Amino acid sequence: MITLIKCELKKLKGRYFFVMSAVFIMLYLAWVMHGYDKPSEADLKFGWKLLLYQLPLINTILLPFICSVTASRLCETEHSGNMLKQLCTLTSRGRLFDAKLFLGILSVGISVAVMWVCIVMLGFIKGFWGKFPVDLYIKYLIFTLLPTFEIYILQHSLALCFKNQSVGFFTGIAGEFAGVFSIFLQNVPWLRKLLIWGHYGALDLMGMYGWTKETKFENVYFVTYDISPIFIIFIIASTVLIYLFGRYMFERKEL
Amino acid sequence: MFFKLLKAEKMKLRHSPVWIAFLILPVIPAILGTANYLCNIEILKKEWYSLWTQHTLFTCYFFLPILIGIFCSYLMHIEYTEGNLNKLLTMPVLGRTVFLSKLTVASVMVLISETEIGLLFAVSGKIAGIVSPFPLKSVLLWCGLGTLGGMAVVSVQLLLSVFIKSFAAPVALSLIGGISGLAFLAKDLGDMWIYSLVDYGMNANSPQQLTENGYIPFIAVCVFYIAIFTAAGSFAFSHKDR
Repeated sequence: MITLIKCELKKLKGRYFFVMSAVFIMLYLAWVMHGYDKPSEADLKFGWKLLLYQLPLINTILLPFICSVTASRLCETEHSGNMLKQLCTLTSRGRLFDAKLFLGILSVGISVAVMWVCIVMLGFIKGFWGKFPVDLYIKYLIFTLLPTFEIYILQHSLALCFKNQSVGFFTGIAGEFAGVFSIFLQNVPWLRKLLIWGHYGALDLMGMYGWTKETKFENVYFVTYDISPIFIIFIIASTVLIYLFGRYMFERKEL
Repeated sequence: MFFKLLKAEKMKLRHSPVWIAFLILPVIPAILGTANYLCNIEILKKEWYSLWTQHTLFTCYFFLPILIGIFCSYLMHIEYTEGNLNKLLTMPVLGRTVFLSKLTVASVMVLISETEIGLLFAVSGKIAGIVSPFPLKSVLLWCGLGTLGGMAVVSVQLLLSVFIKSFAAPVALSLIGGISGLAFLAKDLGDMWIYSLVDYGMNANSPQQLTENGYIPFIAVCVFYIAIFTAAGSFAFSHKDR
């Protein structure tokens, strides 16, 4: 397995794979920081909670797309020149699937972790008021990683099973689109629980109430949501199912 | 020759699911955007105009540029696989004609997508029970200008796909473009930046709104971008290293 991962790393040489991840991290941070360019008193007062309220939407828009691009970049090399045919004579398809998946998961996982560290640093640099809610932010990190891995495994399976990379991209973009809308549809909470792209919203830890155009932050209050352990088990189970199904499909793919 | 190439492009797409995405994707904001409109009807009081923002907000900011990016990447990628580009370049056709045919096919897909957005908007409004008259003139104008803005994005995305062999990289750039478009609109520079033109033309609740005086400059900017990037793309395609 380690040899396969080393091979995958060698294939990435000269493909600017890690540069692309760095660009995505910068794009994400630029978007988040844009709102805190010149923070108001309310931004500083509610900063820690406000970030937790705002980030799931940004995550729903950007992270699934990062997963699509990462998976496609890792898998498209094999489709060009029918490399899969040769590779599968050297190792089993399942191991190949796992090696590529490991590298992809590692890449998106590190990206999410770096984004998290930078966001926390942003709070300290800007001087957000109050104590840093470390427990909430650790939960946020876990609740961001879970749907990211779930989506990544799906994108990885699509990128490996279909030679036409647009299939994975279109599936991703359609799901992402529905996921973004599901966050706004407060009356239909089951939709964001059902869609894997809506899980960022379903795992939202913070709710903001009392904001109006006229009064702005005057009457604002935040509510911390409890996430049901059953729902977390459901996400983990669906991640495992997607993995098993994707691996099964790849093992039976005609080369 | 141009029409023969168009026919060839059509044949290449016949057994590909790519074009279906242009038909399916506008349905998502139509259903979910209308549902969101109905859930917030006490805040969204401008009837057709409020519904329009719900339908087009995220479509224009992120999804249409990405959709165009994927389609353009696909159009070029079929040439990069299995030595198709070598075969194509040995044919007695000009590189610029090939580029133009691809630009036309992608532009037609944008037009179809915009038409569908307009039609779904009208149907959704009726289903949502909006009683005021349908703003036909405005919708035609927004969809028309949106198509023009989309064509400008098509021209730049095709150029990127000529330079970059990877499928995913130009698509990633289209997302960066979409987000940069939002930033330019926030700074009132949306009329100048290529990736803001779709949002700006479609009046998709952007911070910067297109007024009647802005139509001619908007069209001029779009035509300028299309001409520049088509010329650059044609040149790059003709002189592409096999």
